[in-house]
Amino acid sequence: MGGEVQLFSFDRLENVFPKVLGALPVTLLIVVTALAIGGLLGLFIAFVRVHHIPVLDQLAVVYISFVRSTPEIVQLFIVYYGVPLIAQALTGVDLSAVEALYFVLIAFGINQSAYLAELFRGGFEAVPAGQYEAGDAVGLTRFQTFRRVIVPQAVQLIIPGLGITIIALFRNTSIAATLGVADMMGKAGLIGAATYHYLEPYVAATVIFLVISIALELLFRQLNKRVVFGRRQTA
Amino acid sequence: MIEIQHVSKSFGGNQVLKDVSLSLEHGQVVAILGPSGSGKTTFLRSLNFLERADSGTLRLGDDVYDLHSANKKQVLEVRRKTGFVFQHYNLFANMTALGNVMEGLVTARKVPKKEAERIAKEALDKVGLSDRYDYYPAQLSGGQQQRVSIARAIATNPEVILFDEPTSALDPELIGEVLAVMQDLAQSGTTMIVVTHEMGFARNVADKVLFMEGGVVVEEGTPDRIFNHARQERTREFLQRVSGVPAASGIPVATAKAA
Repeated sequence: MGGEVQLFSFDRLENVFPKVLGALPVTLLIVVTALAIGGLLGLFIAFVRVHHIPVLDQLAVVYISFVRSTPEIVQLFIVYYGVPLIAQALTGVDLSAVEALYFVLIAFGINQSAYLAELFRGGFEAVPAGQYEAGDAVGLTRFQTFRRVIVPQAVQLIIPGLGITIIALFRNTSIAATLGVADMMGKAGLIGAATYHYLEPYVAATVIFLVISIALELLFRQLNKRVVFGRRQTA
Repeated sequence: MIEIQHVSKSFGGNQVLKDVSLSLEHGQVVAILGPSGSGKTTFLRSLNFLERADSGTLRLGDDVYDLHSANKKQVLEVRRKTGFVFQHYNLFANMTALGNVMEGLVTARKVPKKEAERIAKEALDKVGLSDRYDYYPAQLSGGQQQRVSIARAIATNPEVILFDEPTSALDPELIGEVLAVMQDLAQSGTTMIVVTHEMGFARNVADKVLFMEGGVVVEEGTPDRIFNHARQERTREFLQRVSGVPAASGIPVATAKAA
């Protein structure tokens, strides 16, 4: 606004916005992959915990509490620096040329598995025991009861928490930039370094994060408002 | 002919069933009475393996099942030959009334969907819910839910239906509608074993009444024998105690079963 040094320029914002937005697919790739890895691993861990499978159950408790009580960025660095060392020691394979993005995917996958495992466990344990007994009494096998009765009800219970988890994950992906991954945050940093104007690209990233987070929240709020199985969803 | 012999069961060191036996003819209704903790519910639940008895046998027609050591296949077989009505209905919360009744037919017994739908609607009509096919359990009253649950039990045409205190969880004004449906079933020749606190039902509908206490059958006989000429002091005491308070429903079962 007329000073010698213009602190902020909407022209520059307009200019960098599409470039930052262009990195959105990388951010989304991290989200989707982390959910896929975390979902599968989380289902397995939830199964172990619901059925109290000896040894594995105790390991799962430690794993979950470890992941949930350490910062994501620490986990990310541990995976980035630790996995190549372990791979080298165990198999002699050199992973130093592997792109940072792959370690980010693994780290977020592990991170999500702990949160999703607890979410799934909560959902499945919240289905009343009487539903299993009804399946038994009607002559269904345990697997049929699980598939036809338990899963549909557990999914309904899981959806609200899933929304919160996904939105948090979406925001947290921004730390991938610390390893030089060109997600939205990384791209913004690169633009800043190249132009010496950091504020505009970060504002652009902020706007995109904000819009998508709010959109996700509205989406899940709508999902929760649906009348499901004759009952209005809450939470 | 259904013959249940020598059923015993302990939970930890506590023996809740001691050598309980019962036999009934096809089409008969047996009411099991007794104070809470007498083992009557455990007895009923061990008949379709919701509980594993420590010993005992169940004969359904020509087939005999070991209530302790039956294998998975036999357990499934017994469950597909029997119906069970729970105290808390236990309808599948994710299915409509129609879906609840069809499930045992389509998924468990592989009845074609069209055919299953016809049977299920017929069963729901029989319990007076022809206008509630598409309602979810959450949209139904307790009495309606219990009637769906009865429809679910009769739809598979089981050899016997086991009722576990079917009216105990209901609001008093809803008990009558459920008892009326059960009375209809009894009159149309459905074989039933009913654990109940409804003395009117036991007295007027049952062919045989069992009084249980402390895990044993204290006395059994016709309703007239048990209610008017009980031989055991404990039976008389119990009946006096429960008749001292007004009947929970306030709705006497109207007509005696045609003899």
